[in-house]
Amino acid sequence: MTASPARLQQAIVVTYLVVFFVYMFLPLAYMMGVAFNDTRIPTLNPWRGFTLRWFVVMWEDDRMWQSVGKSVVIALWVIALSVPLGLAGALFMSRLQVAAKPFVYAVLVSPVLTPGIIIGLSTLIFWDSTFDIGGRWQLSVLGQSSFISAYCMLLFMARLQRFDPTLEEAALDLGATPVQVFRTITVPYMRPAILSAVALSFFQSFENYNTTVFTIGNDLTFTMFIVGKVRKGVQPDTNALAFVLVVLTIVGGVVYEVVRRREVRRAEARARAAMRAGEAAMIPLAVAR
Amino acid sequence: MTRAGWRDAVRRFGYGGVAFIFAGCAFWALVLIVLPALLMLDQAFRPFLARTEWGGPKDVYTVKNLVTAVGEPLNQVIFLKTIWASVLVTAVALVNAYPLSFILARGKRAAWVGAIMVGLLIPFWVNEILRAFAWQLLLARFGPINNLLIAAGILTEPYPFLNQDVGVILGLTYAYILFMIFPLYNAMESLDPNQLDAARDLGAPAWRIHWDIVIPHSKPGIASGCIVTFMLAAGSFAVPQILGGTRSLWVTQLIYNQFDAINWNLGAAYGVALVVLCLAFVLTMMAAFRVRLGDIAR
Amino acid sequence: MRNDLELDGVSKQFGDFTAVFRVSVTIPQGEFFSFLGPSGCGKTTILRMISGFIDPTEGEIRLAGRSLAGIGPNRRPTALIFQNLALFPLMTVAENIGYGLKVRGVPRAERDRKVAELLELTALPGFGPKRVDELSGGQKQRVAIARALAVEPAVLLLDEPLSALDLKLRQHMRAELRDLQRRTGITFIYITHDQGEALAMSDRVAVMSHGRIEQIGTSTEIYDHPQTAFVASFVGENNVFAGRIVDAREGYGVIDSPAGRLRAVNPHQLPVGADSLLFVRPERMRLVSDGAPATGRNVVEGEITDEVFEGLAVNIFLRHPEGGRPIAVSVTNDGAVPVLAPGTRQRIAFVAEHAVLLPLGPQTQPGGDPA
Repeated sequence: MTASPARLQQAIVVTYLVVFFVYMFLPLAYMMGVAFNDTRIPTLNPWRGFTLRWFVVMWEDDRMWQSVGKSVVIALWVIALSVPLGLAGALFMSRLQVAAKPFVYAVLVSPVLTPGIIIGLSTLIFWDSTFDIGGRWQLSVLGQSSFISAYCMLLFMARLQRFDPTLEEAALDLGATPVQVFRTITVPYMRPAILSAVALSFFQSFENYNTTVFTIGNDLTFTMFIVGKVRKGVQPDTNALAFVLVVLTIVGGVVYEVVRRREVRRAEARARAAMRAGEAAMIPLAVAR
Repeated sequence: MTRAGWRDAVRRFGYGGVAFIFAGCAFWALVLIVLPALLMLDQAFRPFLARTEWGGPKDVYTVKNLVTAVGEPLNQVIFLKTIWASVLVTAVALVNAYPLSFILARGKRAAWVGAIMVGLLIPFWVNEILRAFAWQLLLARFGPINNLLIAAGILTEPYPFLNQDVGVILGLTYAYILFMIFPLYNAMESLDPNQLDAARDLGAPAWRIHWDIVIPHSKPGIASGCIVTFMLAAGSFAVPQILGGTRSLWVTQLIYNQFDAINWNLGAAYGVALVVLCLAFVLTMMAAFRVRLGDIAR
Repeated sequence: MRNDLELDGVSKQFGDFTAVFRVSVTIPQGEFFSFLGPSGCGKTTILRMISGFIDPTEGEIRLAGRSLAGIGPNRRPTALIFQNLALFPLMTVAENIGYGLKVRGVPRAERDRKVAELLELTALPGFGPKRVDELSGGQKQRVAIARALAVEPAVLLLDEPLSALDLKLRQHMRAELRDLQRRTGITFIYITHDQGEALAMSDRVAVMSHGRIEQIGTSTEIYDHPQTAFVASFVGENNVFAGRIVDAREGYGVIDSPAGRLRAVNPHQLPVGADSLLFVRPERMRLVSDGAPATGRNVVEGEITDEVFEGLAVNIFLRHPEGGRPIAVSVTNDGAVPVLAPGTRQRIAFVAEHAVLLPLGPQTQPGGDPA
């Protein structure tokens, strides 16, 4: 009875999705395709033949590798700072009963909405005016950590919300000190969230530009390197770099989805096994009666 | 915190644990957030002086910087343009994200929904700089878009998309459209599908179902999505830097110019003005659409 | 000194709300002691105070003569079985049971040995490597108990552990817990709202209501000789007749009630003129056949409303002259119970020794005022 309108609706939906996906991916595809064109001008048209030489040029750029190294160093320090701070914030929000909690929450989460350059500029002004410490990569670590800690905190809070507090109490009751409880009960439970937080912190730090550019001083990070090349817009080796990065992102996305689905399937299998164990245990009791 | 609250906290975490929690939150809140903000505010109201003159007779509070920032007509145009463009980006993002989120939220086959989500996440994970770069290529004078428009007869000569506002706006839209999808999707997912079926059963046409049921239910998601997209667009720096130029200046670039010229005081003034304006705009919109702070649960 | 647990005038106040009021009781080592009462009566709060998660606002808790004040839950010689069991989901059964030993630094070999012992004790041989989410409800119960026993507590606290189990399993576990307690000799403090459980398993029971102890005694004492109206109505089924006392002597009293003059034991020596409640259990009432004499017994006549066959017993309900819940008579099903049609008039009788007169209203403890 409603076959035609439903089919039409489905066709519209599919078309819309396809168009949207094309809109999202076509610019990236174009940018990546240029990397293979044997011409110095970054363009697909005119196509002068397939080549891999821009990849070689990109690979041999020492400045690029230096900037990658610097970005990695900053990212590692950001992880070291943001994960513990995020955890402290999450524990504060989830477990302590303080009247001013909503206010503290608003303050701690505010950097997420604040424009990155404001964070960068304010960090620079603070450390320069107060301690005469000018722009350097350590300031970038501090500036980035102000909002990356917030992301970590949100991740931890989500995980803690479903954490049964009686588990910690049971551990205490059995004689564990708070440190032991934390190490043997809380941290293992938080492990997936901690891993997510580490990964998130790393990537957020690595790709950060706005805050970094104001606090970095004379150093060069990877994103700054890319911006520099993009603004000069000279050679397609930038496109080769873009190609590699996009491919890495796609691979990362696929891996993430596969792992996620595997975890879901595992959890379902365990739940089914528990149900069967429950039913099996009833039989001997029924017989014993 | 009450005394019983303290004792309970110490019981759970030990003295060391409680100290860690408080010290961590204090360091984060004060050293990383509040003090830098206060100092930037302070510097915005001080004149640009050499270090040796700090604390001296010329170091008095002044509104000169702020007046320059928002008083000069050129700056005012730039501020208005930034806000206007951010609103446009937000609106386009909302219009595009709404159907997509709805389709995903109502998606019957979980496998498909998951796959589409990951598919959308991928461009999201690609750095916004690269995405701006992609548009730089597309919008170039002799790039594909110009070529296409000329071939179709719409243009007779290449249009300088870059170094114009329109190029930046296109870039910003592309960069931030996905920030609207996730809050919207989350809000819509919690809608009981039976409500929609009930409305359809009662004879409501599609647009009414959305207007009366879906939109009110999704208001928190719409609100938070819009706020995030707006703030990101207004505070965006890399995209205007790459796609804009001398004829398309953005507030963030004004800040950067002053930072570069070491006149951090004026830069701070621009920054303060930007934040205040954005906050005022967001709060006005919230009042206009009758959204309260409690609705936006993040 | 023996590990006797003493609660001395323990109270707990949450703001305006009094959860526990001046509870005093001494629980000798090796006793199976239950706190019985409806939800919100304060029994969980008492348990948490004994285990150290809440501090009393008033009073003291002592073990073997030493006050436990200021000693955290991880340093008290108590072990708590939580209502939701709180088994560590990421650990195996063996790791759960051995947890208390591990945090005390007991070496692995000895730990494994103890865990194996406990698995035998709780009838879970070979379950060591299993994961928690593979276990049934009853099996999880036993792991929780084994885990608590591993730390050799002086007092084992159980928070309504059987409430999540179905009927047959509950009855099975009752016997197991009792057996376990006798074999280990550890003091068990058990809280529940299920009086069947409390009466079946305990050496002594404390009946609680609104934060106060109404009565402490053995199961028989609580059941046969309730001291307050609450205990009489909460524990088991009981018929109630309200009236004013018109005669009181030699330990007995007579009330004038809408059902007639009824005589019962008067343990509180309530005086003539006092308002009182008379309680008599359904199984103490007998059907009086027409014409038969009823000398020396209380007789009540009423209209049959229902007759319910329930296997072991036949429950007969009559309309109560005071209105409200019907009078219940419980007769053993010996095959000779007459079939009574609703509407017929029937006389029932009971002796004064099986009935008790108790004062109205919430019982206040000496020297206390309701908050």
